Amino acid sequence: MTSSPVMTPASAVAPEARRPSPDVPAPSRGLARFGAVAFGLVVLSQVGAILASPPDAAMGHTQKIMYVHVPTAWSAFLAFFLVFVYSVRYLWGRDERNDRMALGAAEVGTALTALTLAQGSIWGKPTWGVWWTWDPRLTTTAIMFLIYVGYLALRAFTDDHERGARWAAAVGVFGFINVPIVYMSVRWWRTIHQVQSTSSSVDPVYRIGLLVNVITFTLLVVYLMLKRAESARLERALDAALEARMLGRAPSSAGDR
Amino acid sequence: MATSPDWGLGWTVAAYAVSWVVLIAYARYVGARSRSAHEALLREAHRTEVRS
Repeated sequence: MTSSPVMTPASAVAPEARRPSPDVPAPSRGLARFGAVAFGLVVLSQVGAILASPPDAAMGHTQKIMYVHVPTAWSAFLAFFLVFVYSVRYLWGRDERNDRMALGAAEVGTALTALTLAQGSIWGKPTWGVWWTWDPRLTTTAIMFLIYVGYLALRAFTDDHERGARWAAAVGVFGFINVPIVYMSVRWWRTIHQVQSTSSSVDPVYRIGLLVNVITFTLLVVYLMLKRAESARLERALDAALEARMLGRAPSSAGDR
Repeated sequence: MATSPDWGLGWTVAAYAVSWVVLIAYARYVGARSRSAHEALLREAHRTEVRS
């Protein structure tokens, strides 16, 4: 049985039902604080880098897109690496926690890949003169996006939760094959996309700003992944509680781990 | 390519605007999922208490 989020406003919940109960899993306050700090740090580091770096001689202000585009692309790679790791761990031990982490990383990674493609298009139009071109880096990134859309669709359209998790884990493992291909595409093939923005390829005047933004953005993405895994934990606890009521037995604590 | 000191500013603003809309929308989406599941769990716990 799968649950869809029940979008009920807080006011619709009876006051007595809103009282915290030790048996009911709740969103983590510590995680919420971590998220607020991560968002704040990203804002500060982006504003700082934008104000501190001069316009590039060739690219003008569009160079500053780098401070959001590179961290977004890097975080998508990181997210898919985590999908791979947690999928292997799930297949090995069938621990639901690993499945939830893989789901969180996959969903965040997919959103970030879509965002990377959008940012790239916005940069490409004034710089290359086109929104899109079938360049090896762009094409392999689009394929990566489609692989993880498939991963999420597989989870969404499989009724049996355990089977869906198993199949998704297999996609999470084999789908990762494309990630190093995306990363190396700018070196393996002739491409109009510049090589990876690393400390050796970026001008020193932009290097610190880029590094700080990569670090703060990574914190934000870790928060989003943990938050999505948390929502999956609560939804599965709800599924268990509803199922227990229908079957007339005490709720299991499986979703509370 | 850069033809004036402000060249590319509009594109840069657009890239950051799109990025922040997506990030904030996604953060709100996962927050709403957590909240609604938690509220449903509280209702379920209350219902179980009342019935017992």
